[in-house]
Amino acid sequence: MKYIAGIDIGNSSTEVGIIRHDQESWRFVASSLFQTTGLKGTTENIPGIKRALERGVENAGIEVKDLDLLLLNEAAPVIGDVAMETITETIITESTMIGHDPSTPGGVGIGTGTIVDISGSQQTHSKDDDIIFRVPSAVDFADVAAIINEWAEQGYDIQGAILQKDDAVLVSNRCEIDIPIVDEVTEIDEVPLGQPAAIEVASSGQTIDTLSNPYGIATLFELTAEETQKIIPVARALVGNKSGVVIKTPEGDVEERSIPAGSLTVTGEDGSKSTVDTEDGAQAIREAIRNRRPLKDVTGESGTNIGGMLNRARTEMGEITNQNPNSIQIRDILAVDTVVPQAVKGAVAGEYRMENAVALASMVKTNRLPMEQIAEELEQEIAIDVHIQGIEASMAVLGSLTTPGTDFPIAILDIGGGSTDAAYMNEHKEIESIHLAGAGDLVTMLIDSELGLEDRKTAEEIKKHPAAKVETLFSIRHEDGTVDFLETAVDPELFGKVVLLKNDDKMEPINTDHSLEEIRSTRREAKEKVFVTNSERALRQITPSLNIRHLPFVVMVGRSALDFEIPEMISNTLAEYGIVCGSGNIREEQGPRNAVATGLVLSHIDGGSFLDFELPDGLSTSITEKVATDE
Amino acid sequence: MSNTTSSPRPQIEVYYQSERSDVLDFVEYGIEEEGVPWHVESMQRDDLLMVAHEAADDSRLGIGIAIGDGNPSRTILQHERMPEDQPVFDVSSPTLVQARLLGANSARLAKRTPLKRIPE
Repeated sequence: MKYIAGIDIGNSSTEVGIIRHDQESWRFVASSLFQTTGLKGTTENIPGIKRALERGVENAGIEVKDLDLLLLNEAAPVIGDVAMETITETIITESTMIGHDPSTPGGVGIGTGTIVDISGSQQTHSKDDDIIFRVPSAVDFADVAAIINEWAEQGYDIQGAILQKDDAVLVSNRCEIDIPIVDEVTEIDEVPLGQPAAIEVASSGQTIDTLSNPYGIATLFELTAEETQKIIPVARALVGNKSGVVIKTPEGDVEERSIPAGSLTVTGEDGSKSTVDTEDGAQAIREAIRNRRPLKDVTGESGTNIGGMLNRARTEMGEITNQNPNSIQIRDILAVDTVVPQAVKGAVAGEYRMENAVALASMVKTNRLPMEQIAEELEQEIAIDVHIQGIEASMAVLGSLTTPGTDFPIAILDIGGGSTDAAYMNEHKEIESIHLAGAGDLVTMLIDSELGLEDRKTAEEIKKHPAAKVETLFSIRHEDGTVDFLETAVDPELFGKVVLLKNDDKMEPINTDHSLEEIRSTRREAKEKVFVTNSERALRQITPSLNIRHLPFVVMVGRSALDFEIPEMISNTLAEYGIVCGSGNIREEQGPRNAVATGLVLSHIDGGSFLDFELPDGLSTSITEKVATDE
Repeated sequence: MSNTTSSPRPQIEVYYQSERSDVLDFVEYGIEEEGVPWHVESMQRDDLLMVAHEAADDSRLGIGIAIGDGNPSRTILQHERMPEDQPVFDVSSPTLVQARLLGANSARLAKRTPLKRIPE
């Protein structure tokens, strides 16, 4: 009896497939996986390999020492890194805006007047002045209402109030005049007294429309065309709010500017170069990359974030491979436009604006040297022959061909955390493969920054799980609108919140103010921007005609193929090209898992009983030679 | 501001044992700020859990509050579908801040917006 194990060291998991030879035939007897230890392609992978092997032999009912041969994938370390650059910024040099959005403002409509402290004396004001009261938290809501009523009775024109506490409705209900009231303005001292201001509260279910319109503000404050230009960012920051305040300050100035984010220099293999500014946006960067393909290297302007990010990738790779960082080259970049919530500089109540940004994924690739170290060390530790067999993508193609309903020419897509890999086997069984930058990690970063979470772990969870809204104590509404009724009440902590539905029916609240729709669309758009863009990019490059339409079969493998929505998104996109695309089902039982491990074994047993064609020499040469000398 | 006439409209039922208290005032402020209708009634009964469930059952929103005797007075927020002995919130001697939050949360239950955390 003879046992052979194929081992695929992936970025996040190490997979094993074990085959047994008895009575002239080969049969797969076990599969297993364990999380990859250390960075892929380094000797730190060995503990993970051993655990995956132990699980595999346990499933096969044998022991590690019963294995006759281990086959490793030739996994070149690929480091993907992600970074983001904000390229616009809103600065207010004087306090001119409260873009506050309390959940329960009071009254409705627009008021304009001069800001007056509520505890001030009537004598200092003329009855001709319109007044907006500023109310610190020390003043009780009943007193606020009483003062407003008293001033109004004396003939003062009270136009609105700005409250520190959450009392707007209570005040409004006790006022005899109907005025807009904004509350929960925590930094009330920042609201300048004696300045003209406008306050707007939308009616319920609506958003404000005057203060969010530059011409609306211009009308209220009688602004010139030049002044109107300057308040455009203020108006835009108030779009979508239920309430807002705009204060005109004497030397008030607001500017919207571009932040110098650094430039990228793209060098093609032919030596041609082009330089592109990050602030020109993702499309300009993508074009520069496309025009210089195949890439030799990408460098970032030194002293900028972009330069720092690309250097970090180089240094990290240099350390792993014991090479000079300067000799490491960046082989691909994916740039994506995004918007991120950023605090408005100079604002008074913690206002933020969605500023433009560019997110980048970069990828460096190196030689196979470290794999030999892994093989050597592993061989010593467990005293079993270890061979490095064929490159990863080729093995993934072989493994994928065990999916029922496939045939070659075939292309596979393997989207991981750091890179998007694709391989293509043509009618002559020649295999070509590529690695592209941009995969799961970039999606996580986009979700994190667009939702303003500042928490990668939560963003990762949002990426992986569908969300739902807890609508009542006993029901949740799913993303598709369907409602589930629950046996027992949810924790009051979850009530009214958006939750993630984890695998074991556990609900985990997402602590943001975003609606279910916002979370769903942010998640899906991030996946579209990265996964769909990269799938098309990858397939176009490996298709000999550079035309995706000529691909008959595309099989998705790897972890992303297990995602609850990525396979569907990619299939839908490729369906437009008339391609059969779906998740793999390796050996008719493994789903999209185990493609590389299975391919490793198949390439060694030369055809086996799982592929109905002979393998081309190129795929099995290295190992056949080694086996021959071993015997 | 409170609505003391019984009507069939959707409203939170607030039942209190014997006399009005500061806690009742602040529960009302909490509900009022959130803009949900409510109705207050005196209910002479010993078992406050039972009173709370009755308030929830009587409410067309299915949401009731029971405020006990004493100063400060135990306050229970209940939903009609919850078991009597498992109220949504049961605070034995609420501060005025907590009372206002209990009121706000009863209204938020009705509006289906996330509840506010009630500090210890």
